[in-house]
Amino acid sequence: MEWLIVLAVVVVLVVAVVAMYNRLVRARVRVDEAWAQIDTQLQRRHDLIPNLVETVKGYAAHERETFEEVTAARSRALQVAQPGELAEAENELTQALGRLLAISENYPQLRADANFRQLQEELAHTENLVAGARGHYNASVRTYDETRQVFPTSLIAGMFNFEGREYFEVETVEVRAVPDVSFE
Amino acid sequence: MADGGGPDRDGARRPEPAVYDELQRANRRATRLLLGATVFLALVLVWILVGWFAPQAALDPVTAVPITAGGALLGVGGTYLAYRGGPAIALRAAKARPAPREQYPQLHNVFDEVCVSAGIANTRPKLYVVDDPAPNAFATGLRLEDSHVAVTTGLVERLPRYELRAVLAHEVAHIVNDDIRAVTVAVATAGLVALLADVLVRAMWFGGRGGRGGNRGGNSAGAAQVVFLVLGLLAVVLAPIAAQLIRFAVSRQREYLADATAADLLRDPQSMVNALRRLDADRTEIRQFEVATAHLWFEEPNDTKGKDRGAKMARRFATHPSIGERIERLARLNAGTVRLDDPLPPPPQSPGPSAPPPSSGPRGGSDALDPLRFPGTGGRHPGSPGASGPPPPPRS
Repeated sequence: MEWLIVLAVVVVLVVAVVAMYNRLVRARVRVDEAWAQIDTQLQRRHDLIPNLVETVKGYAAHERETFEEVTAARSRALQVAQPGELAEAENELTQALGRLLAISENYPQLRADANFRQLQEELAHTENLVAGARGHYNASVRTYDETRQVFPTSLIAGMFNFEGREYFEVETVEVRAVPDVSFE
Repeated sequence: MADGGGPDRDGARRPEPAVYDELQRANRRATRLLLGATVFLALVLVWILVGWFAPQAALDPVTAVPITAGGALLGVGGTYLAYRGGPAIALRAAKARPAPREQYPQLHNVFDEVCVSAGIANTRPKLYVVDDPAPNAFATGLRLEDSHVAVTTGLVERLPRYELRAVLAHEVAHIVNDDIRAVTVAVATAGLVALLADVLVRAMWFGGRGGRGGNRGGNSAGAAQVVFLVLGLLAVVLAPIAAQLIRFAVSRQREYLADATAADLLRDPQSMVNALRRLDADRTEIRQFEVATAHLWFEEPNDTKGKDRGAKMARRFATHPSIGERIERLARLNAGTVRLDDPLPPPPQSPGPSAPPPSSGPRGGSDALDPLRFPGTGGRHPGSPGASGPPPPPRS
C-alpha cells in the first residue's frame, strides 16, 4: 500500500515539473518569436530610409547635415544586436527621421510629391509596426519574467538555467520630446 | 502637431498591464465556465427526457448515468459539429466578401499593425468587407488560426486611420480574449437548449401519460412520472431563458474588456474613445442585419439609440452595453489621459486643411511616431481610394 502512495506522489511531482518546464519553454519561445518580429519590422524601416533620403534630397539638396545624420544613425542601428543598445540606436534613428521630415515642411513641392506622400504612409505604417512589435516583445518578456520568478516555477527556472531577457526600452525623455511637425 | 496616443504612452499613468492580463485570464476562465454550464444544462435536460420515457431507469444511477451522458454527448457533439460551420454562416449572413489588398491598401496596413501589436502576425485573421454605409465591424471564427474580421465599407470610408485601427484592434481583442469561441458556444447553447426543450414538449404531447400511460403499472412509477412532468414543464419554460441569459453574459462584459484590451494593445486609448464617440454620433442604419448575428458586431445594429419607449425596450434586450457606457468605462480606466470633449479628427474624405487630431496638443505627451501622422488627410494615403471623394453626408 505504501509503495502505491509513494508512486502517486512521484508521478504527481514529475507531472508538475514537466508542466512548469513546458510553461517556461513556451514563454521563452514567445519572447524569441516577438524578437524576430521586431527584427523584421526594423529591417523594413532600414530598407525604407535610403528611398526617403533620396526623395527628400531631390528637393532639398543642401540639407546635407540631416541626411548624414539619418544615414549614420541607420548604419549604427545595423551594427548592434543587443536589445538595449539596439533600442538606443533606433531611438536616435527615430529622432533623425523626425528632423528629416521636419525639413520637408519648408519645401511645398516636396510635400506635394506623390512619391514622397507614399513614402510617408509607408513610413508611418512601418513606425506603427515597429511600435507594435516592440510593445508585444516587452509584454512577452514581462510574461516570461513573471513565470521565471514566481514560486515554484522559479525552482525549475533555476535548475534548468532559464536566463532573463532584456526589455526593448524606448520611452526615454529625448524620444518623447520630438520636434513639433505638421504636414499641413 | 504633437501627439496621438496621449500621455498614456509615457507609462506614467497607464493602468498596470497586469490588470489587463488578470482581466483577460478571468475572461478565459469565464469561457471555460460557460462551456461547463452548457454541458450541465444539456445533461439536466437529457436526464429529464430520459425520466419522462422511463422514470424508473432515470432514478437508478447505474442505468441513468450512461444513458444521460451518452445523450448529452450526442447533443453537444452534434451541436459542435453544426457550429463548425458557424463562422462561414455569419460571414454569409452579413454578405461579407474578402478585402483585396490592392483595393484596400490602408485597411490592410492598419490591420497588419494591429496584428503585430497583438502578436498574431503569423496567424493573421482573414479580412473581409461588407458593402454597407453604416460604420461597423465584427469578428468570427472558432480558433485563432481560423478567425475572420469583417468591416463595413462605411467604416473604412468614415473613420480616420487611427480610429479604424482602434476598431480593428477591438475585433482582434475579441479573438485573443477567446470571446469568439465563447460567442459560438453561447449560440450553440441556445440552439441545443431550444432543440432539447422542443423534443421534451413533443415527448409530453405524444408519449408518456397521454399515450401509453395506462400500461404503466405501479404507484411509484406514477409518482415518478408526475415528478418528471413537473420537472419537464419547468425545464421547457426555464431552459430558453437560461440560454438567453448565458448569451447576454457573454457579450456585455466582453465588450468593455475588448475596448480596454484594444486600447492597451495599441497604447492609444484616445483613438478608441474617438472611434466610439464618432460611431455614437453616427445614425446610419445597417442594412446587412440579422438578429442571429447582432451580438457579433462592434456596435449593436439594433436601433437602441432613441429616447422613445421602443428604443428603451430594445436597450433592455441589447446584447451590447451602450456606447456611452463603453466610453465612460474606458475613460475611467485611463483617467486623466483621455479627453472626451475635444473635436474629433476630420474623417478621411474631408477636404481642405483641418485641425490636428484632438489627441494632440500641449497636454498630450509626445511620441516617437508623432512626426509621421498626417492630420490633413486623416492619415489616409492621398493616392488611396476615397481620398478625394465627396464629403460624407451630414448626420442627424
